Amino acid sequence: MPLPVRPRPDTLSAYRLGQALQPGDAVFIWIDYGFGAQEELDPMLQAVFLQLMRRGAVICIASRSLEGGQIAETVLHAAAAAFPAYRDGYGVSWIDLGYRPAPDVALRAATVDLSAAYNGVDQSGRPLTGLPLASRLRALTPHYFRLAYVFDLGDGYAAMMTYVSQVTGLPMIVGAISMEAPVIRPFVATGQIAAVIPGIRGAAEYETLLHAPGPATALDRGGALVALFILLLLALGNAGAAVPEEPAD
Amino acid sequence: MPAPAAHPFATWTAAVCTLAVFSYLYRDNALWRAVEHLYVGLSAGYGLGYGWHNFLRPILLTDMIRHHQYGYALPLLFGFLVFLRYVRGGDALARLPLGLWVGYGAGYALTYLPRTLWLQVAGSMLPPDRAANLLVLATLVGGLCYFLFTVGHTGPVRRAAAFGRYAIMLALGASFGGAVLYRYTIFLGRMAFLLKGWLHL
Repeated sequence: MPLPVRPRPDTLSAYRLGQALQPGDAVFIWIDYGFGAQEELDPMLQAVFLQLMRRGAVICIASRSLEGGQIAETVLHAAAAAFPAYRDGYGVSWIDLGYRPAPDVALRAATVDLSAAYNGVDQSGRPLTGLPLASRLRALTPHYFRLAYVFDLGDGYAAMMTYVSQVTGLPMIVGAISMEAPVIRPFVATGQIAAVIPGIRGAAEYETLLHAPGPATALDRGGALVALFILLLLALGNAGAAVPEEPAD
Repeated sequence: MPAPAAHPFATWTAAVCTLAVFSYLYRDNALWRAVEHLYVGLSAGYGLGYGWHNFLRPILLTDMIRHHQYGYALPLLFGFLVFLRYVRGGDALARLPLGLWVGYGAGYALTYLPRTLWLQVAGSMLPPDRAANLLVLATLVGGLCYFLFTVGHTGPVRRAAAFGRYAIMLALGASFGGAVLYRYTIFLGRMAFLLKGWLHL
């Protein structure tokens, strides 16, 4: 049964920032989650990729988790099926810098020299000197980038502290798993984070805004049924506890 | 989310591993333990291979040997000092690289975090012209009162602490609810993979 998905202010803010991008604007995306959070964050990432591809933005990906780069490329290819410029445009429309040990240090270094921060190679070990986009985007600063996204799994507060202290002047959107979204909210209230997309519900709202219902919408429907199931169990448990026990013989 | 156009072998492997992990719901068993060890081994192997191809090889072969940038030898040797903990009497030297790392972390925190934290503190005390701002402020004061042990919990402090306790319980409840739904989303995603991606139902 299709359930209505009404975008909330958080998701609307993130969507509007994405819609304000012009063709050729550069966007930086951190994939900070691993295989354990794919079910919730992959659909969200796919919806964001879809919007960025529709807007014609160029995408630079990096990761704080070892498998993040691999995950990003799989999701990007799923979103790029109808966008040849991205499907076949590695190095021109998008690049994947992958993971670097000591990611906090890499983040700090990226604000000065993006290529040096990632040792001059991309996720697959290819030299960045051969990729046109890498020579265009020299540093993680508002001069080169218009928007940044963080797709975050678990160390929300600590990671956010690092991001907001290092990446200054660049509007940042956080895609968070549902249990992490409340931790990110204070950063939105202070203006340190521009917007947060909260969990699978937020991803479904994003798909609704894009008029492209997909995996998030399907999972959100399942989640609604699960919530109903939990409520039913709570009601049954309380009803069972309310019934007085018969005295034992 | 089912992987797009996955090779049948990959799909079957993922399905068997998923079922093996789910088998733990019944009881601990050999299949579950085998998959658990496989995952840990694969992660370690992937990390090692990635580190070699993307960092050690470019530095060792390209920068040091081909471009004669021998300065990289210094941090490399410094890093290897960690292994001296396995040598009798080498503990002191092994602590040096760790000390550098801890020192960097402390310096980093002292340099960048105060301003970031200050904005968070200021964000907790916005003008009370909206109900939401008032609620945040009341919750902050109540939560602080609950953890205030140097003053007796009597009078207004007692009432504030009680409010703070309920606010904390609400926040923890909401967090726990989010955690439950997150786990269910993972479960639903795996079921979607098994039913659609694997069985094509």
